[in-house]
Order: sequence, then structure tokens, then C-alpha cells
Amino acid sequence: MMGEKKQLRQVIEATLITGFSFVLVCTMLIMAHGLSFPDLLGRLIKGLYVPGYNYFGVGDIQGIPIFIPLYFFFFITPLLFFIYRFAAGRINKEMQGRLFSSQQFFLLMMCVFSVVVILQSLGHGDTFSKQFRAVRGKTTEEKYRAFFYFKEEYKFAEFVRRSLPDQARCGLRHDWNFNDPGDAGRWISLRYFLYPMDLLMTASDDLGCLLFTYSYRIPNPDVPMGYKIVVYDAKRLITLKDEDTL
Amino acid sequence: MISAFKLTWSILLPLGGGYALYRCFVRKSEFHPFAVMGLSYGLGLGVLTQWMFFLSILNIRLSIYSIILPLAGLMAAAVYLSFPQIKEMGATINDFFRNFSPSIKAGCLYQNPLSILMTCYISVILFSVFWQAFNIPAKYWDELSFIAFKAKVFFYTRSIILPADAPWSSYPLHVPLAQAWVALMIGEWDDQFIKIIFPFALLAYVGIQYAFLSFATSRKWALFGTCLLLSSNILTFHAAIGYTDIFLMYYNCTAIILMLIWVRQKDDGILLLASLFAGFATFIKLEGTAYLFLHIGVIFLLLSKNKDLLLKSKFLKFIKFLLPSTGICLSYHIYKLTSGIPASQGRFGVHFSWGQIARLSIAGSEVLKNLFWSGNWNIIWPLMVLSLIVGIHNMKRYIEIRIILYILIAFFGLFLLFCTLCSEEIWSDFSFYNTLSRIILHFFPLATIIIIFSNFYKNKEFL
Repeated sequence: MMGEKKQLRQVIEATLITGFSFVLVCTMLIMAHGLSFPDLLGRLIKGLYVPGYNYFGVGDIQGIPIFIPLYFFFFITPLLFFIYRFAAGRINKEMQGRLFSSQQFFLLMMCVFSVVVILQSLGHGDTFSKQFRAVRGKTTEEKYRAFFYFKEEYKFAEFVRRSLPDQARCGLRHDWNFNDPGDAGRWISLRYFLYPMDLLMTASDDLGCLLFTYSYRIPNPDVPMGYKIVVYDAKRLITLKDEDTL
Repeated sequence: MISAFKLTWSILLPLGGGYALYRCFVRKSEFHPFAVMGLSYGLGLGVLTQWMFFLSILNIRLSIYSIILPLAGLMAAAVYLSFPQIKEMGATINDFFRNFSPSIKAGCLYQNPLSILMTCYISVILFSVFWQAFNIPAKYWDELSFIAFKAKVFFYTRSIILPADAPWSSYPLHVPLAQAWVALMIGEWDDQFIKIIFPFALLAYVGIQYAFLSFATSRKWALFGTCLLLSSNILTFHAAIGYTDIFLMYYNCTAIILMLIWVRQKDDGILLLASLFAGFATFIKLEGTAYLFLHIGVIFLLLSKNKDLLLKSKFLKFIKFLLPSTGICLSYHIYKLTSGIPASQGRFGVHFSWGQIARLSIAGSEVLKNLFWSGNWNIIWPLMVLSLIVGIHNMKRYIEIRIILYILIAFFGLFLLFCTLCSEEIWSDFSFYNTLSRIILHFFPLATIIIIFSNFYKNKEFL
């Protein structure tokens, strides 16, 4: 029973010290940057969840990366705990002169971790709710058409699939520069969404069809003899041999 | 509705097959039901994709029947052979639920508010991962450029022959084949449903790590370890998108966990299972082959430290680990050699000059920046360092901490070695921003295990 009471006291102490330390760090940031508390909290929440499929970045508070106040919080909490225990005269009594027991240290780190997790989860929740509202009730096709980064290529691929047979082999004429990630992304999206249609980079004239996709208005497409044109928009069109039917 | 039914079977079939095989391997030891499910999923899916690969090599068209029928026979044989164990397992699951439900009724869980909080956190994170995987269709770079693209080719051509201009043709095929399996099961290509396998990989790994920690420590510590694991942004994000890294993490870390369990349980079935998982890891990404050397090193270390075994017995156990894992690894590399597919498409070219030593500082600082100064890992790595300092006395007590620490050091050493020795062409193209986080992800869960073991006290429950 005594052990349980002692544990409970340790938990309450660790929680209070962590809370105090967090408020202290927030106050310092508010005073240094002239922010309001909700504004600061908003920045912390958003800054701890910056999604990226290769790397999750961290936000900043007026140019200062969030990790600086975060690490300050990480290190000041045990320090405050030590000061508290020293002031309360507990160090010599219970710990034979040691700063904390490993268990106390763990409790403290757990509290710090919980604060970071709560802030990060709020950021995650915010992103999640935005995604939820955006895709609710939509079909896969509608999601692609609405939110996909290369949605223009997706729509063009849909048009091509409607216009040509499934197993068609088409050449591609374009002005893409594959060293540019945007153009490379356009190519991989178009190839993925058109498959099982075969899309060849060699735009030889003996193919049944040619896809034209340019970053500017196509003034007068260089269409081989015997091909007809199916226009998608000013920058994209399909040409196919006359004997092929739409 | 029909799709949902078929989709469920696309997970249940590998799970069931994996379970039957698991029972064939592990006869002496008894694992937590979560771990059994987690191991069965990986085992079933691993065997399934190996089977699909094997069928394709033999020029047999991939179809539901050609895949399922022989496997079903194998599963039936496995079920027959391990029937007594399966009956026991049924009893274990019954006991688990029998004990679990009265504890809820009696309000037992309410006496542990911390456990409830941690369980809620884990459930919410897993729910969000599943929701994202089921609602956001394939749209990220690697998915469209080669992972889901290859799966689409496999689904439509019913073979693993890729178009001549297909990107990254040297990459192993586990994930594309698993996605093609889902598409074959539902009978059509669906850009959303093919992602079902990814959140289940996370769920399976969570089950395995939870069971391992709860076996070695206690339920609360295991729950906390799971919270630490799921607090990583990039881990949960990758479980919801169609990249291969979550699978490599799952197979790699499960192989390591199984090796650690084998040290305590001394059951050779677990060693074989670890070997299979290490082998399957090589069929996910090219890095898996490098990790296999690391796994072999770990087994060598564990056997050399074991004083109870005779040299001959040690050698036999080493061979038991080596044969299945390298067999799986070599089968794909030999296939590539014989079918004219480049071995690594220039990603592993080696060259050395003394000037390249300077790269160490660049790579080292990038690693430190990623571990301690990114939003990928929450504060897990600083926590691990502090835990190791404060819980240094536990390092002597638990072999697990020492082994995992060796593995992490070897992993980062391997990465730095690669950076130092790779050719100038690879080095100039290498993007730390694009690749480093995903490479660290393959070993990240080990940091959370270290935190738990370093802080765990056998006689002291926290809260």
C-alpha cells in the first residue's frame, strides 16, 4: 500500500513538473516572439507533423526550428525536477545523494514524451480530418481527378482509355525534360494509368496511334499522313490511323 | 460487397497458410496469439510470393487456381501434420478471450487508466493507418513508377516478365507480387484495394513486438513499447502508402526478434522461422541482401557466445539458419543473372580512394540530423540514448540490449561504409533527403525495444 502511494506521489510530481516546464518554455517563447498562446500552440501542433513520403520535416516558430524549444523542454524538465527535489530536501533522505532513481527518470521522460505525442497527434488529427472531409463519399476516380498531383495526366489517361482499345500500342510525342521531377512525374503517371496500353517513348510513325502532350498550346501538330486527330484540349491530343475506330 | 468478400480472402488465405506452416515449424514453444497471427501473415505472404515467383520461372501462367491449388495441398498437409498443436492453439485463443472478457466486465481494465490510455492511443493510430490505406489510392512516386506499376504488369500479363523499359527491373518482387495477388483475388485492378497488404504488415509487426516485449517484460511495458513504436510519423505514414519499406522493416525486425527469442527458448523451429524471415527480407529490396549478412553475423555471434553447445551442434544450427535464408536470397539473384536482368542497376558500385574518407563526416552528420533533428522519429532516438546512459546496469542483465545495440551499430556502420566506398557516380546522385529516412526505418523499431529493456525492472511495475 505504501509502495503504491509512493508511486502515485512520484507520478503526480513528474506530471506537475513536466506541466510546469512546458508552461515555462511556452512563456519564454511567447515573450521572445510576441505570440499569443493559441497561436504558439497552433504552430507547435502544425510544426510537429509536416508529412512527406521521404522525410517528415519540422516547422519553425518565426525562423527558429521547433526542435530548439523541444530539446530545451527535454533537458530543462529533469533539471527542474532536480531543483524541486533538492528544495524539498528529498535527495539525501531517499536517494543516498543520487539525483533521481532510474524509475523517476523514466517517469519524467515518459511525461515529456507524452507532451510531444499529444502535440504531434493533434497535428496528425488535423491532417487526418482534412483528408477525411476531402475524400468522404468519393470514388477512386473522383479522388484522382480532384486531388492527385498529376490530375491532368490522369484525366488525359482516362480520355485516351475511352478513345482507344485496351491493348493499343501508342507512341508519345512530348516536350518533357526528364531531369525535371515534374515532367518525370507526368510521364510515370501517364504510363501507370494507361497500362495495359503500351506507351512507347519512341514515337515511330508505324504505330497505330500517337499521343501528343505539350506544356504549351499545340499550334499545328506534326501529324503523319493517314492519321486523324482526336483533340483532348489545346495541349494534348491523340492521332490515330484512319482504319482504327474510336 | 463481393469485392470486400474477396479482399478479405486475399488476406485470410496467406494468413491461414502461414499459420499452418508456422505450426509445422514451432512445435515446442508457445507464443502470444498476437505474435502467432503476426508471424503467420508474414510467413504466408512470403511463401505465397515465392511460389508465384517459382511458377513464373517455370512459365506457368499466374492465376488463382495455379497459385492456390498447390498451396492449398501444402496447407492441408501442414494442418494434418500439426493438428495437435492447432487444437492447442484453439484452446489458447479460447483462454485468451475467456480471461479477457470477464476482466472487462469486472472493470479490471478501468483500474489501469494508463493501460487504457495507451490502448486507446494504439487503436486510434492503427485506425488512422487503416483508414488512409483504404481511402487514399496509390499516388506516390515509387508506387506509380515501379512498385504498383510492376504489380499491374504482373496482373495483366500473368507473368513476371517486365517490359524492356521498365524502371528498377533489378528490384526484388515481393511487394509487386503480393499486390498482384490481391488484384487476382478480387478479379480486377483496383488502385485502392491493392494497398490492403501494407497496414496489415504494420499490424502484424505491432503484434509481434508487443508479444515479444510482453513475454520479456510485462503487459504495461509492452503497451508502452508499442506506443513508442507508433509515435513515429514516418512509420505510420509508410504503413498507409504502397512503398516497400514497411515490409522490409517488418521482415528484418521480426527476423531479429525471432533470433532473440531463440536465445531464450532454444527452439530450433524459431531459428528456422528467423531464417525464413531474413530470407524473405532479401526479396523485398536490394538492401535486404546486405541485411542478410548482418543477420548471419548476429547468429554467428549468438552461437559463439553460447557455452552450452558443442562445436558440431553450433555448426549445424548455423547451417540451419544459413540454408533457407541464403537459398531464398540466391534464387532471385540467380534468376536475374540467367534472365539478363542487371544485378543492381549501378546502385552498388564500389570504388575506393583516400579522398572518399571525407564523405564519412557528411554522411555521419546527415544521419545525426535525421535521427535528432527531423520529424520522422518523434523523440525516440534521444530517449534511447538517455535510456542507455541511465539504464547502463541493465545492459549487463539483458543480452537483448547488447545484441540490438551491436545490430544498430553494425547497421549504421554498414551505411557509412556504403557511403564511403560507393563510386563517385552513385555518391553524386545519392540523395540523403530521399533515401536516408526510409533506410533508418528498416531498423527503427529496435530503438524502441532498447528503451523498454533499458528501463525495465523485473520487480518494479511503473504505475
